[in-house]
Amino acid sequence: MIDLKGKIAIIILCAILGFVIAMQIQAVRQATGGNKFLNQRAQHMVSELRSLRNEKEKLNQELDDIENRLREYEISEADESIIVRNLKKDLSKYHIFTGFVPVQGPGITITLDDKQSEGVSFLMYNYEILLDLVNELNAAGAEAIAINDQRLLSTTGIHYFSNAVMINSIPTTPPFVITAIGNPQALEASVNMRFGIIWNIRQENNLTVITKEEENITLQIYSETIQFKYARPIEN
Amino acid sequence: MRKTASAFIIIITFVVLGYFITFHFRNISEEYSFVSIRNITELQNEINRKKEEIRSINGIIVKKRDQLKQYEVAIKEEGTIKEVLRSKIEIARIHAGFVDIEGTGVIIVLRDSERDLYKNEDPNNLIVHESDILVLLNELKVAGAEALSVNGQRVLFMTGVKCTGPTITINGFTYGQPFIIKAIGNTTALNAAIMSPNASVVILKEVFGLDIKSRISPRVRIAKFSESTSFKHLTVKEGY
Amino acid sequence: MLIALLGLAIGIFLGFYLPITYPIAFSLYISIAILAALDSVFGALKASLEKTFNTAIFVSGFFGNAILAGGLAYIGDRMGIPLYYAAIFAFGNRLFNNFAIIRRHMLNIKSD
Repeated sequence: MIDLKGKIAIIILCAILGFVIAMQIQAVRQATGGNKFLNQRAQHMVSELRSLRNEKEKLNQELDDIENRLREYEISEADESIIVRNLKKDLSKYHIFTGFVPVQGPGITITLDDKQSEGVSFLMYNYEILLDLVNELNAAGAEAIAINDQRLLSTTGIHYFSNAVMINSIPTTPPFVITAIGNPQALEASVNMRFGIIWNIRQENNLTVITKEEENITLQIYSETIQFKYARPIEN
Repeated sequence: MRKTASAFIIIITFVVLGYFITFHFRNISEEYSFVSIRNITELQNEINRKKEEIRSINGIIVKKRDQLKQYEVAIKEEGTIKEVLRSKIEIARIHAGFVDIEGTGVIIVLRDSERDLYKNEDPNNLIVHESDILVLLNELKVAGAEALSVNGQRVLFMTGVKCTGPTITINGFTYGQPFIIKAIGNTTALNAAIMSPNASVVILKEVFGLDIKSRISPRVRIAKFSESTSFKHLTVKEGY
Repeated sequence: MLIALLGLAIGIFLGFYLPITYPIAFSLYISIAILAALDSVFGALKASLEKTFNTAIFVSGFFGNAILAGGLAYIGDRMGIPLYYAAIFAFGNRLFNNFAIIRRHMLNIKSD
């Protein structure tokens, strides 16, 4: 039959094969975090997603409710008193800067994506591209900007942590959708300028960049509360 | 005999096959299709995103409930929400950057490098660029800076920094070097941001020889944002 | 045949209990390499039943196929073409062919 050398070869190689198979199963198990078959796991996740969606729906309704009641207070008194009306307008103006009111207007959306299937995303590693892009938009007259629906405030920092880009300490992943309010043509021109940032990015890597002028964009409220723990107003 | 036996077996096999086919059709549900690892991670990301959205909506609800309570109390005690609004405006002005403020923080001064160029070195290496300032401002924000200014100009979210040759234009004002950056916040965190081996300023100093000095101060003063804030395109959403 | 199963069992056992892992990013390439290696094993089984087993061919095929398949999948990923499909078809096809031949041999032996 088969000589000894052959038998040894078979046993060793099959052992290696079995080893790799087991490692593969382990790796997949780790990536999907569970002992169940992928199908079952997906099912669980789909139903979890569904219940999360319902919860979000309910919370949104509750929020609408509270906002209506707030408006009642404000409108009823604003109707009688010009002072209150003006105070409310002033407050709204400052709330634009603290992110406590949603804002809207014409502008553009920029979608950045890299098709990296495995490995660290180039975009995430080089998130300074986002910084440059935001600065470019600001210089071209952007009046408010959000990335993946995270409103950028004066204290908003962006950094890379644990396989995600943290904006306002919220993890975000590609594709990055940047929404900016301003003059759509001016913004679009500054972004797509030759030898500008986007031009460079498009040339170099696997990145897809899509810009689109919009008639009306809405930027959401920033949900955390700004707190100054170290800065105090100077009494004059 | 053999023939009928094998015919029999063949018939049974086909019956089983037919049964499985119809069984499968009755049981088709999208959720049992082939699931790849990528789908799982995408689903997981979606779940995380939803959880995050729920958390932020809860945050907003808490804030608005608080506001509601303030209104209720004000109406009960004073009959008007004027005072509530006034105090809210005070706080909002400070957070928005329209009030001069002071506090503990750091001051960083950047200058172009004085050293000679290495052979074939790009002269751009020795100059302070707008992206250097952007990265530095970002690092300070990540470290919790509550207010920032560049050469006295308050930096808000719509402030653009433009590199125009040897000068920098910010909020419409042009400045040459030195570029002085002030930040108010927790001094330990801010200092770590500029002193750690990964800090951009450390790299700029060590590798490119830029002249960068920094110091902690118990009393950093930052002026308010003093440009006009009339928005040409932006409006507050209806009803807020 | 039995020693092949024994080897597999040992390997699987070791794989589950030793804490060595590799980044999930490679799992696509590794799984194609596994398929290629499996095909080699089936080829070896067939060869042993036909008394044409050759150690050198088995070993070279085992590693060669695995590396080639993994490499092809990697290059395909880089180029944006799912080249691993080619490997799946080729090795899958051979695997089932070999299995068919193995079956015939085993059944023939039985009916002797």
